[in-house]
Amino acid sequence: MKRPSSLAVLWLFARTALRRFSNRSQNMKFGKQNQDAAVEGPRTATLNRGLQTSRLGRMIAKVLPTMMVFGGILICSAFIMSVVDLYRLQEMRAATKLPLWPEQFKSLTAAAQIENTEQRQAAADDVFKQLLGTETGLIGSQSLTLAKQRFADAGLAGFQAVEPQQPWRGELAVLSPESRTQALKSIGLFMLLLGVAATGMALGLMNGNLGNNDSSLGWLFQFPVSRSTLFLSKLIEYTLDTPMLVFVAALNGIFLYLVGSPFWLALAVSLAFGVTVAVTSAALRLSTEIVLLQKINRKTRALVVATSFTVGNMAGIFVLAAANSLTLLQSFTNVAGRMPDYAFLNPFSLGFGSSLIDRGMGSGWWLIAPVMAVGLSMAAIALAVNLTRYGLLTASESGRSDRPVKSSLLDRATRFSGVVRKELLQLTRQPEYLGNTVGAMLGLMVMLYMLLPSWSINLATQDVSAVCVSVFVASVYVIFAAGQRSLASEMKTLWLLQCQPRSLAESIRSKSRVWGVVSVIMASALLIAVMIRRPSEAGDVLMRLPFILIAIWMLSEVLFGMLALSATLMSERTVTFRRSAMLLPLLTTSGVSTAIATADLWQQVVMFVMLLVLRAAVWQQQQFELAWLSEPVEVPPKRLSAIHGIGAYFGFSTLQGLFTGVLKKLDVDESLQFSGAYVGAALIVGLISWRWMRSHQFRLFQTAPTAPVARPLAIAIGATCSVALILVGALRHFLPERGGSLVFAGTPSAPNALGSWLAITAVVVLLAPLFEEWIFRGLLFQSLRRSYSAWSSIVLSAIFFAAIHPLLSLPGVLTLGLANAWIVERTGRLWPAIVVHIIYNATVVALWNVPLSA
Amino acid sequence: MQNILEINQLVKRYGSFTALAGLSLSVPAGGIFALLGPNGAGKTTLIKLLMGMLQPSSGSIRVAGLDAFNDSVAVKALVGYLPDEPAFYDFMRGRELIRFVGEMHGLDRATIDARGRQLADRLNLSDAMEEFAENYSRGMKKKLGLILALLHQPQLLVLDEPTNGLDPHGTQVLHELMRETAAAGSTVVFSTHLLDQAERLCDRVAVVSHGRLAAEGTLAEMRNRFGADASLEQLFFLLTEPAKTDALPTAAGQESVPS
Repeated sequence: MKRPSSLAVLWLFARTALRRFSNRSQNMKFGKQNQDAAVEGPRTATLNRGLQTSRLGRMIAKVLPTMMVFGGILICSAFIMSVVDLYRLQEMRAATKLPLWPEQFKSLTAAAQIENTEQRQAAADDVFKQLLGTETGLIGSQSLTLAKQRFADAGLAGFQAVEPQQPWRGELAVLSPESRTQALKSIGLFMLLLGVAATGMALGLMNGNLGNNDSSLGWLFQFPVSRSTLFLSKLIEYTLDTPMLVFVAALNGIFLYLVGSPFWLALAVSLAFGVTVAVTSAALRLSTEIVLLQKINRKTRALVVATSFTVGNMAGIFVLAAANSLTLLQSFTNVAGRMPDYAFLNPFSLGFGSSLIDRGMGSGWWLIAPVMAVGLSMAAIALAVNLTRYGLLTASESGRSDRPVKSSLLDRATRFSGVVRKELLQLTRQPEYLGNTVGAMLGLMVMLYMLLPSWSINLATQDVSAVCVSVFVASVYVIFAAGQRSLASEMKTLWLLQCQPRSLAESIRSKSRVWGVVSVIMASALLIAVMIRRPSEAGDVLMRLPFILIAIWMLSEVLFGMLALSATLMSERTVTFRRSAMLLPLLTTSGVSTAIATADLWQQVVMFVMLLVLRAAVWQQQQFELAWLSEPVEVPPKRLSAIHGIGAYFGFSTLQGLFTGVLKKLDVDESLQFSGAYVGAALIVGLISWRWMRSHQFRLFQTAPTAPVARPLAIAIGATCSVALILVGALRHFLPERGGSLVFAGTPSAPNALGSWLAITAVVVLLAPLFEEWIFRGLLFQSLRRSYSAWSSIVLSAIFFAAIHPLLSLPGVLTLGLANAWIVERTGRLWPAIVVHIIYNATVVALWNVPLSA
Repeated sequence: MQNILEINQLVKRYGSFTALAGLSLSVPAGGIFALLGPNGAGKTTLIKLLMGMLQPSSGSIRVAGLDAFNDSVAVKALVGYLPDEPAFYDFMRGRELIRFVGEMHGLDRATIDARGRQLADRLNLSDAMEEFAENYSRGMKKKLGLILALLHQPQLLVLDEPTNGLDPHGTQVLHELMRETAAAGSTVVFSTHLLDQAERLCDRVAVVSHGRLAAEGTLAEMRNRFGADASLEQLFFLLTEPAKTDALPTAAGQESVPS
């Protein structure tokens, strides 16, 4: 019989891998084309019906990972810039004459000629801004201050022109050779970490399902194909399965371009680097698959896979955190500087950081990457063939080791202690879970170790806010990792058994509380350690401590809840989590991080309120949707919840910011920027939320339609207007200049022409009331009301409404929020609330503009 | 006639556990051959050795004169194999899988499509051809695996517990297909513990117990040796668990044997 050539088999496999890619993105579980087959197949449980039904949802699901990759690339290139900037700053501090580019030195000389002191200073500032102003970070601003200081002290004599050193470009070209070597070392270490992250995650993602072999490996052994061809094909398949390729390749391209390679060379080398990383991770994965298939039982396998995934994740998080924290960055460069030369000759660093690269720049060094890629492929195939010398299974077929047995603890799980014990059982019986948790803890310890003074430079340069943010982010990560693992098993078990002793939402809630307690304890331990090590800054930490702990506690519920809501049970073995569901918690996490960093009390209160409402909303959505999982109904119910309200507001503010930015770039008048952005964003969000309501059979005006309107309306108008009167009066008295901009944050305060005044007033007095009532009373309050009592809903929606307004208007907007929610509750209609809001806003604007007779 | 399968003193150990302890067996070309034995007797290990997925600890196993491990590529071209629990790429549709396997065997597309469609029609699987393999039920997976094993018209068809999970119609078609394959001059080797099935289908039987060959021959030969009117079931018990055979009804009380 004719047998196919090796080349034909390779081509076949490459095509298969591509098909895998396209079929995956088609969301295959939902691509059922044949309903008869569907009946016979296992029932697929999914909560993500938005994903299957709406085209928009599918598009977002596809676009989001790509956006995340590009965000990662931006952060990484920011890291490269910061490393170079850091060395620049250190050199500037040490130098008697600050180095400048020749043309900048020329413009500084021109600036120094100016007679007027103020004008001279301004012209010099412009030059420095050109030089250093592109980086808004801590390092950039420190460099800027240093240069300004030097110019004020010594004038032109404090500077000198430095010719850039070929072939380097950008900041690297003006660094001294020693600093450049150090910077390259940091970059080499960074690339190494990134490679480890990519490989670890690829390993951890094998088969998407911890503890089970890649079953196709055994299947492929049935075909009349030689082992080396088979493994080369499998290598190609795994390589194409690694989307990290694009990521690292693009990152490397940016870097090479920044340091001075020609564009096309940069592109070629970056692609070669991408291939190396992808092949390395694929080779590791292939060997691991074979070794694990042969020798090690399911538990060990799960442990290995989970640990490598966590290590990869932690490396990734560390890389991202290092780009954002000065302290981490300094520790990082310090560690990199101590690494020996040969440590950078690995497939990930590709020689960056070793003396080879400095000597050999431009003389064929870029061959390293492709040579390594080819070498690694050969090595991987040789290894794989060698590993299967005695057949696919050698020692024992121990794939079927004992599966975790669910104990009768479920019966007692309603009690908190029962849940704790169940978590412990899960830890001991499900090694993948243990591996992840232990790995996360280890990563945390490494992070803390990097923060310790013995590694970094002196204490004074460390800033305590970065430490606090790091602890917070690490805790959130622990919760996230624990949530993913424990929920995956919970969903599988409960779904399969379909006999949970209480509602799934309830059990997830107590699970999240267990982990909230664990993370809070861990975070407090870490923060206490920081306080002991740095007693002078203990006050700063103490000031943030309560907020950090509360935020961690509440976020654990939000994270667990969102994870549960985004879970899809692909089959009886596989649970996947939709990434887009993480958007809201991530936004909140970044907001909380900002609040921790600035230690601004009002910002902390705002974030607290946001978390509070988000938590209530997530809880509500869980009650709606998770109940469906245990019911044998084909389609889950469509319910509109408070999450939609919060999402609509976040969407609105994002769009508003986006439009304002665009209009600013177009040089539009300030008042038009404001009104245009507001109208555009309100229109889009309004239309989308209108569609939500229609598709969810959510009616705005459904409760008590006959209730009288006149009295509540009068009460509400009276209350809000009297508060407005007192508020504006007090502000005009105590803060006559700044009060207006504080009350109407974001509103241009002094419109110069009648037209722009009219545009702003129309938005503030007419459109804003309409839109805000629609979102806050229409969507948020009414959906909260479905699950919570009247007063909780009124208070929750009102404090959320107040939190998004500026601090000084708090008494007014809080009263307005309370009154309007109450009036909607009483009358069951939205229009009275709109009327109250219009009157309130009009009163404030009018009172503010009335000339004082005194 | 040349033997399609020639097994000589085959030993396979997994660590300290011995799965096969010096098994010797010859299967002549053509016809249907059943491999019987209780759970854990070593049937699946034998089949894996035959497919070249494992290396024998000692002894040899030859398919059409080729060594199953050293010439495994050539052997696999001759053999079609349906595992007990077939595994496929879960991201491929049925039709895509058939084409993939066909191409792995070097068939051209027209042939693959024609055979694939014909087999799918007979097995009532043509409606599910556009469905992802992951969504298949166990029986459907088995049917698909059967199509894949028959696709290249193997000289030796090896089926591991083929009827597990199949519906009655599927079982019937499977039997037809096995008979047709044998009639076309190929050999079918299948493992089972469903004795009535073996009795109805096969020309020759081998009973494996504790990693050894307990008996081998045509049904008639076996009856000659162990008792003229013994059922296969009684032979099975006699061969695999001689110690307990006393407790069983004798051949005379055959009607009262609970099934």
